[in-house]
Amino acid sequence: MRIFNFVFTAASCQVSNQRTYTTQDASVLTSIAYITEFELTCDGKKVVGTQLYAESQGSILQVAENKGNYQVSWTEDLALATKGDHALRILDDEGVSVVRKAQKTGSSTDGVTPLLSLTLNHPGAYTGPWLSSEHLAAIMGVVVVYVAVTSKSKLLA
Amino acid sequence: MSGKGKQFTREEELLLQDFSRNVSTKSNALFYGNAFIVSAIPIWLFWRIHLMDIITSSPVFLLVTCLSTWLMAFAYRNTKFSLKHKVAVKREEAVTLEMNKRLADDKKMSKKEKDERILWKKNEVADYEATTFSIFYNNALFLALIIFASFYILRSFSPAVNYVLSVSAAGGLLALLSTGTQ
Repeated sequence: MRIFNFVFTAASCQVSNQRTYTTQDASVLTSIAYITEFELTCDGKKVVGTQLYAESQGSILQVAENKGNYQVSWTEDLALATKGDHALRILDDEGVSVVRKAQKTGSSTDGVTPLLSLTLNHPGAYTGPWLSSEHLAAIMGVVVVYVAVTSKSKLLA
Repeated sequence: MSGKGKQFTREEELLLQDFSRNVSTKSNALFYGNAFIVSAIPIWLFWRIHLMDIITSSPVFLLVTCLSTWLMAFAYRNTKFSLKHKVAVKREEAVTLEMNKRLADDKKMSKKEKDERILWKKNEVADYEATTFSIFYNNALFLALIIFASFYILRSFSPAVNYVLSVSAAGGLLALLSTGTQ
């Protein structure tokens, strides 16, 4: 049930208390998780109970809300995940319908003014050692075999 | 060499022993001991890394280790045989020089005895070097083959199949290669 029914404008809303989390250790995982939490203040009032949407690289995500704390989360395949800043456009009902219409017609969504823009930074995830132990063992094996074979050739020469 | 029906002299027997593929009991014990140790090493790899159960897989481990021990000992013997006389030729000069220095003070010793001692020392050096090198060479190849077979070639197989194939193939290949002339 909605308590407030604002007509937001981009200039009047501010994000506060933004916290982000992204997967740091992906050595045994197949996907990277992205989570950002924030609070929203519009015209000096904390926004509570409003359905918001987030748009990132063409995908529209629902924003979860609990007593004025908003949370956006999604996962991305490890191979497709990229390091650095990920832009998120936060939209209200009106904004998201405009984006969906634009996506259906194939036109650009750049012109849609979001309620606010967020940035989520992913510093990259640890996917295991650069050289795994079996490769290291194989390299050492090759070196020792090389020494053994050359020594044998010298003896037999 | 003695004629037909005659017994070999002690010198001839020693000479024949030097050229034969048969090895002494001491060498055999060394070969089988080393072969057993190197054949048992993959058990750790498949137990701790490929996560095979040590108790339930123990019959397979035992069987393959025994087979591999025999194959490795066979490879050691053949490699030693092919190397021994080459090593003897390579070390002949150095051994002769050293033995001449050592025996120079002994004026009582005859030329024949000196030559025999040099020959005996040369054989001892060649035997020792060929034995140790044969063990090193075959162990290096065996372990490298197992790493390649188990981690790359047979990685998609179950650990038990991987173990049996990689260890038997590595031992078999070395035994086969050791029968070559070079």
